[in-house]
Parts: sequence; C-alpha cells; structure tokens
Amino acid sequence: MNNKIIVVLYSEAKRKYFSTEEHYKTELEVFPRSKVVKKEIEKLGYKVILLPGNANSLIKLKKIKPLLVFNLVDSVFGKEELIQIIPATLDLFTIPYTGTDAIGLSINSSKFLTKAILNQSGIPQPKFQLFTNKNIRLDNSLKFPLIVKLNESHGSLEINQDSVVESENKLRNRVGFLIDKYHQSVIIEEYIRGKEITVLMIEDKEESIILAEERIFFKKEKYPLYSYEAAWGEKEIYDCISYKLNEKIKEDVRKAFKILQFKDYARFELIIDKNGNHFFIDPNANPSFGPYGTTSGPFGYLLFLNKIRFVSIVKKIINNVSRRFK
Amino acid sequence: MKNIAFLYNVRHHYPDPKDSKTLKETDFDDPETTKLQIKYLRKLGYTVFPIEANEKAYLKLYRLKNKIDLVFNVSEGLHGSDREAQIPAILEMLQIPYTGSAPLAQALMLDKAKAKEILLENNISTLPFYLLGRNDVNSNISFKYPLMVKPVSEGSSAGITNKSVVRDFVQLKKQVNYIEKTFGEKSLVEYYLSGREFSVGMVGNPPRILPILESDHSLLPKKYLPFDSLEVKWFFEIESKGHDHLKIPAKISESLKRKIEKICYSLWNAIGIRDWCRIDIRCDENENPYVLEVNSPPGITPPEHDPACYIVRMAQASGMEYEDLLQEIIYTAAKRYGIKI
Repeated sequence: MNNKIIVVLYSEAKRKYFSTEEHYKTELEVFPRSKVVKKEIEKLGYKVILLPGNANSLIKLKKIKPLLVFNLVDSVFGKEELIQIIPATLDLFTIPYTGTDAIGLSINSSKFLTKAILNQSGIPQPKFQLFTNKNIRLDNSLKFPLIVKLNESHGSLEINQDSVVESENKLRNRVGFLIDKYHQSVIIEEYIRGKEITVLMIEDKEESIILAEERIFFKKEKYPLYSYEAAWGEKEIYDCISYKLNEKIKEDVRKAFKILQFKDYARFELIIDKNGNHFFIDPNANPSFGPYGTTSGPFGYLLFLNKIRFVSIVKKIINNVSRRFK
Repeated sequence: MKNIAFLYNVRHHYPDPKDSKTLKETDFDDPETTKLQIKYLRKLGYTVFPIEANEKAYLKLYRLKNKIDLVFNVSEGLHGSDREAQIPAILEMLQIPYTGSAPLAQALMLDKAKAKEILLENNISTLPFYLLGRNDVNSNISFKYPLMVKPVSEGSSAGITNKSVVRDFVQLKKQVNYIEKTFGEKSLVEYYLSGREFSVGMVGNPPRILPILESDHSLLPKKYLPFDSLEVKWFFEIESKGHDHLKIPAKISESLKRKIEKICYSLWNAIGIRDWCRIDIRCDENENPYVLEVNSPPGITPPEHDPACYIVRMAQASGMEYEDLLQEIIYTAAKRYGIKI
C-alpha cells in the first residue's frame, strides 16, 4: 500500500450513457467538483490521483495500491443503480474507500428498498407504493395529492409541479410517462405540506456532526418542492437558512444512518408538517461531496453556514476509513 | 455461444465446527467439485475458462472479456458482508454477461436481516427477528425460548450447529458471542420453528419451481437436532453419504404446496432474483410456512461427489440429469441477454 497516495474516483459521464439531456446534466458536474476535492485533499500532504470510475481505472488502482479511494462515483454507465459495483470491487481488491459499502448503496439505489427498510424500523415516512407498470392497483389507503418519483434516480430528476397528482387518472398518466422515458420503476408517496429540511450527517468516532437547513422558496407554488429546476437551474429560486433540529429528529437521523448501513456522510431530506411531525422523504448515501462554491449543494453550504472547514471534514473521513479498514 | 468462463471459489479446509478458521470457507466448493463441474461444462461442448474468484479474477476477466460469451458464476466472493455481490459487480463493470442475480439482489440475499426486512415489507411470510451483537444482548428480548441463533451473513449452514438452538438467556449470550468471535458478524435471532423443513429450487425467467424437497429430520440419527445444521449437511449428508432423510417430491397437501409456491414466486419478484436460486422454508407446528433464507447461487455439486446436493436432487426428480440443469441455467441467462444459443 502506498500511504501517501489517495485516488479520487468520479462518475464517468458520457452523453451516450444517458437517455435524456437532463439526466446527463446531473452527472456532468462530478468531474469539476472532484478536481476541487483533489486540491483540498492535497492540502493535507497527500498525492492525489483523479480517475474516472470505469473498468480501466480499476486495473490502474490495483497497480497504484493507494492508501484509500475517495469514492465520488454517482453512476456507472449512466446508471445510478449500478454504483455498488465500485465498493464491491474495491472490497474484492481490499482497497479502503470512503462512503457507503455495496450493501448500503444497493439498498439506497432503490427508493422503495430504502423506504421498506426504514418502515421496518419505525422511522416516520409518508405512505408509499411501488409501481413497476402503470396498471398496478392503487393502494386504497393512500391519500391524494400524491407525488410521483423515479425509483432509482436521484438529483430531483423529473421533479416538478407535474409530479404532484390529484387524481388516479393523472397518477397513471404520470407513472406511464416516467416508465416509458426512463425504463425504471416509479414510487408514489403522499405529498406532505410543510417545512423542507435538509440534514447532513458526518460520522465521527466521538460524536457525529448533524447539520440542518430549511429551504425557503422565493416563488409561491401550489406544491412547494425541491424541483429539478431548483437543483440544477441557473436561476436561484430558493434560499437556505440554518435550522435547529430537536433531539428526536437527530435520534431518528442517527438511527436511519445506521439501519441503512451508511458510512462517513449522508444527506436526508425531511418534511416537518404544521403539527411539528417529521417525515423522512429521501435518504442519500454518498451525497455530492465537496466544499461550498462547487456543485456540492447542501453539503458544502451547510459546512459554510456552520463555519466548518471542508478540509477538516476530509481529515475526519480519512480517519474514519483508516479505522474501518484496519 | 461457445466460450464460458467458470467462476468458482475453492475450499482449502473441510469445515470443522471446532475450528473457526475453517468455517469461513464453508460456502466454497472443494477442488474435486470444481473439477467435475468444469468437466460437465466441457461435455456440453463449451470451451471453458476456469477462473478462481479472487483478487486476480478482475484482471483475468478484463483480458478475456472479448473472448467470453457468458460467465457461469458459482462463486461466493471473498471479503466482507457484500462478498456475494463482488463477482456480479465486476462482471457488470466489464459488461460480461453472467448467470444469476445482479449485485443488488446478491448483496441483499447474503444479509439475512436486510432480506427479511424486504420480505416483511412485502407481506411475504418470514419470522420477526432481532439482530444482536455481543453488546446488544440484554433481558429485554421479548421472544419466548427456544430461539434460533445464526450468523447474519453466512451460507451453507456455517455457524448453525446443535448449539444454535438456545433455551435461556445464558445460552443466547454465549452463542451470540461465539458468532461474533468466529465470523465477526451479528446474530440473527428468531423463534425456533418446530415444524417441517422444505427447500424449493427455482430456474428460469420467469421461474418454474422444481419438485419440492423435504429434509425429514425425524429420520436423522438422534444426536442431531431436527434442522439442517452444519453437522447434518457436512458430516451426515456428505461424509456418511446419508441422504435417506431427503424426501423428494415432498409429501405435502395441495394447500401447503400452493402456499409455499406463492411465497417463493413473491420472494423472487420482491428481491429481483434472476435465472436460478434455492429457497429454504420451515413451518411452525400448524404447518404455516416461513422463509428461512435464499441461496443464490445455490450449491450445485455433481451427484457422484455429493448425492445430497439439494438443487441437483430436485432437478433429477423432474427428469433432468446434472448436465441438463447446467444447460438450462446457461440457456436461461443467455436468453435474458439476447445471446444466440
């Protein structure tokens, strides 16, 4: 093992891997962000090599034998559901890596599996149902309005006002549209109105860091939600302010992190309704990692808001990995 | 389709319940099994590239990738709780077609707790459970004894012995400690079911169910407790060639058969299994069936080497020879990829 070399693996985004331009755009940002992460790791005195997460790089990795791999791969051949390939292969090569392992990423690659596992542990969530085709019988206990999401894609892809449906007819149309366009299953869940909270958890041996922000939208829409436009559009259409979580939510965040087998860092989207009840909407293993000023979204911004230096988090994660793989 | 890479793991030690080092290889095949499997594949007319599923497998597959039409995967992987996902994962990365389930399903099936959570969420019959490490065992466990204690991520009955059935808190604590020390894993703790035990083989996309096998534990020598322990599978069935307790097809009522089949088809869809698998089912005293675990890939030892290999026995009961079973699995996978046979 070469103790001074760290490899940063990033998603190889080629247009031909993606069925739509929007989907391609969600992955294109990983390379420039990885370059910034590389510079931050270098501040700690390591030599850093950037490699795309593909078959050739894995051959190179075996030769390089790095101290560890920073795994920033969000898709393989454009498929988010294949990202567990990276940690599974690194485990086979016995190369330490940052972030969640193959089981955790496998579960998290499907919103349905993630929700099913959280449900078994009593983590509060909106009621949900999986649709593998548009003709499946709708669970009668679900109450409209319902929000329709792709089961295997992250990055708010296809999330907009049309995602919220108020009738069974519109639901089936939306489900059919998404399945035809993306060839993957679709999850529907009850739309809950309330404060939109993003929580970032960074694992630590002593006490994990849990930070939160509330998203405030500038424009009033019928169904406020974190849309594709909000995530990837050029115009700023929302602001974020610091949010203080109560102990119960923090406890559920730690519990969800553990149950879902997340490692090092994770992001959770929550809704807090008008009665103060919280609901987990979308847990994300290995969310966009990077400092403020990159496309890391809430990760970098929450560190910035809380005056935490990104490089200190890099150091913490390197320590986590060293402990985990010793 | 002509060229097949055969991916396997080799067992270097015979499993000995008293020697923890040997137990980590329980899932692996012995060299004779691998040799025979390759011989059968060659007999079917394929050019076979045998590749041991270790750290070097990636490089070998990378070099051979343009030659290989399909990988026949019976490997179990090497390190970590995601090990059964490792070979499918590298095959996905190299874009080589292979038999069996994708990494996601493989990772889920090896983690018995996660698999059970998915089954419970899908209303597929399996027992509630605790997942306990040595520091989690306390008197708050609300299940009634006797309880069954098994490692959460092992196959082939590894870690399942007569001592796995615990009758009080002291025994529970001892067994959970033993599992953590031996396998470095938590224990899955559930009610001990006292009813009949069945195994169900499935092949195809969509799958068909092979004749159901019953392991009739009342016919076992008295020193074995009535379940498929390591001792029964590895010493009674293999060493002493004892397989009279395996009843195939199982003598079961039409209603129980229907219940078991429904469970297995639902499980196949919920986990997203492909090509083939074997599911273990055990009943309570009222013949209500519960899923114990899923084996993917299941052991597929030639009959001359292990006459008790479950999925081979099932195939034989449906009129297939060993090589027919291999061929069916190959054709099933090839068809899924659109490979010309």
